[in-house]
Amino acid sequence: MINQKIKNASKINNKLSTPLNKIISFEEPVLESIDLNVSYGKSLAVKDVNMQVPKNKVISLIGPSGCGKSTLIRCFNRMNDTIRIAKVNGQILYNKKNVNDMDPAEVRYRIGMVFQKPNPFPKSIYENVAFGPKVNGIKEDLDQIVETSLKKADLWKEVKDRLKENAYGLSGGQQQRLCIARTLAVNPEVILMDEPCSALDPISTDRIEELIKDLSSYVTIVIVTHNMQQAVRVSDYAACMMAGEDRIGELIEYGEVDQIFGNPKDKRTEEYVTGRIG
Amino acid sequence: MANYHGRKSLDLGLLEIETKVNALNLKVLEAFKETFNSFYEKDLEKSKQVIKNDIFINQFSIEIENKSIEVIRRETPLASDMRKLTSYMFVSQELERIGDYLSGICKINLKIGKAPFITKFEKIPKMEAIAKNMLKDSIKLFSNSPEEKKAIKAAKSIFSQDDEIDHLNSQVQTDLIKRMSRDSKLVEQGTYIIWVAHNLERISDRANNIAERTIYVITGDSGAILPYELEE
Repeated sequence: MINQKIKNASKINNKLSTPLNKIISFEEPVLESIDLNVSYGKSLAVKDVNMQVPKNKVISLIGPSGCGKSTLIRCFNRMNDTIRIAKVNGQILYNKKNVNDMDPAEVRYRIGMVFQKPNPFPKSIYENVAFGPKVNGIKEDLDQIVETSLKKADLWKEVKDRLKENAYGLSGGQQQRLCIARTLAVNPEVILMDEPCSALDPISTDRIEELIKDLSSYVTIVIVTHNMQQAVRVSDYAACMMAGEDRIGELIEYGEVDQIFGNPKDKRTEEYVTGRIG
Repeated sequence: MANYHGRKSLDLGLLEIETKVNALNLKVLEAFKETFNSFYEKDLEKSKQVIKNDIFINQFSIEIENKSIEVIRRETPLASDMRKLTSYMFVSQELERIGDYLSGICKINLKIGKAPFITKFEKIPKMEAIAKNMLKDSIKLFSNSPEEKKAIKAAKSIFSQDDEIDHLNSQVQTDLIKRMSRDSKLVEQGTYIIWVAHNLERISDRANNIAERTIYVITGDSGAILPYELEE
């Protein structure tokens, strides 16, 4: 019996002596960043990010404010193109295709985005959802698309009798689900969410989280969140970013969510998730 | 304190529970000492006192559990904080069970009463010393939480003591069963003494559990928990 125990103990010893692999990779990632560096003007904001996003999973991006999480997800659908001083070096691959070689409009409906504060258009609920398909030239079956998208976003029952009303009349949580429906209307493969629940109450947050879990059966979701418990609840994988004294953000650890929040390998991740830094 | 970057409220909560676990351990060690003093000296009053005092050990353990739940609810801890908090609950329950085994030995003492012992007690004092040592070592390991390699070394030493106690326990059983089969007058007390040895063996298992749990707290790997094995 003791020999067996010592054998097991030495297994731990061996395991400890192997180098820690702090970044995971996937066979067929839907999104991938390769040697990504982003600067605003002369200052580097994010450096050397190599990260793969697996298909139909939920990935949380965590880290203290200013560590480059939003900057990173904005690279995935070329949102940084809209910032004049932003410069992106390195590659972002969407299904192995460089997003810079794609039409930016196509990139953005393939890779949709939901922001911290709900931002519906000052139009009717119906027009908000129909907007994307219309821009893409779809004229037929718009009613069907609107209904399906609102159902997928778990909003249909609440708004089906008031589709012509202005979207601003909806509550914050409903507006956020409307923004998700608007994104879903163009059948994206990926949805990027930048703190989608931080302006919502707990009930609305719960509904968005349930929605994220449902959507992940057919959409890949990358979510930036400061709420650790939310990351644990909704995501399959978590990536931790951190900026050092030079204030340049880096990806320091990326792994399965249970590992990141249960037993992080990097001391800085441990300090962040236990609330000792950030 | 100038360089303190912790979470004050969580850190104070952890410290408070850790202090309670250490205090509980001291209570259990005290009960350990009293149990065997009363046993060898046939001090039945002292045995009764240990049985009575077991309630304080139970209450302490419940207090630790409640405080841990309160801190978990309030602080939503993660990673090593969560491992520590769940382990405080686990360890306090193990200590509470050890208290029950000691109280069990005192109850046996009352059953034997003033009748002279049928044995000279060679192996049981050895088992007692080893079990007490294992308990001290495992709690020391749990409280000090050394770096991984040191912790594994210390755990290994605790496990090896467990093997020794298992061996002594089966020797006590074999010896007494042999004697009881020859002389039926020895059956009653012989059975009681086998129970004393059994309780000591169970105490050592609980100490083992505490050491295993400490390895989990330190490595964070539930696969690193060394398998809990009884007899082979």
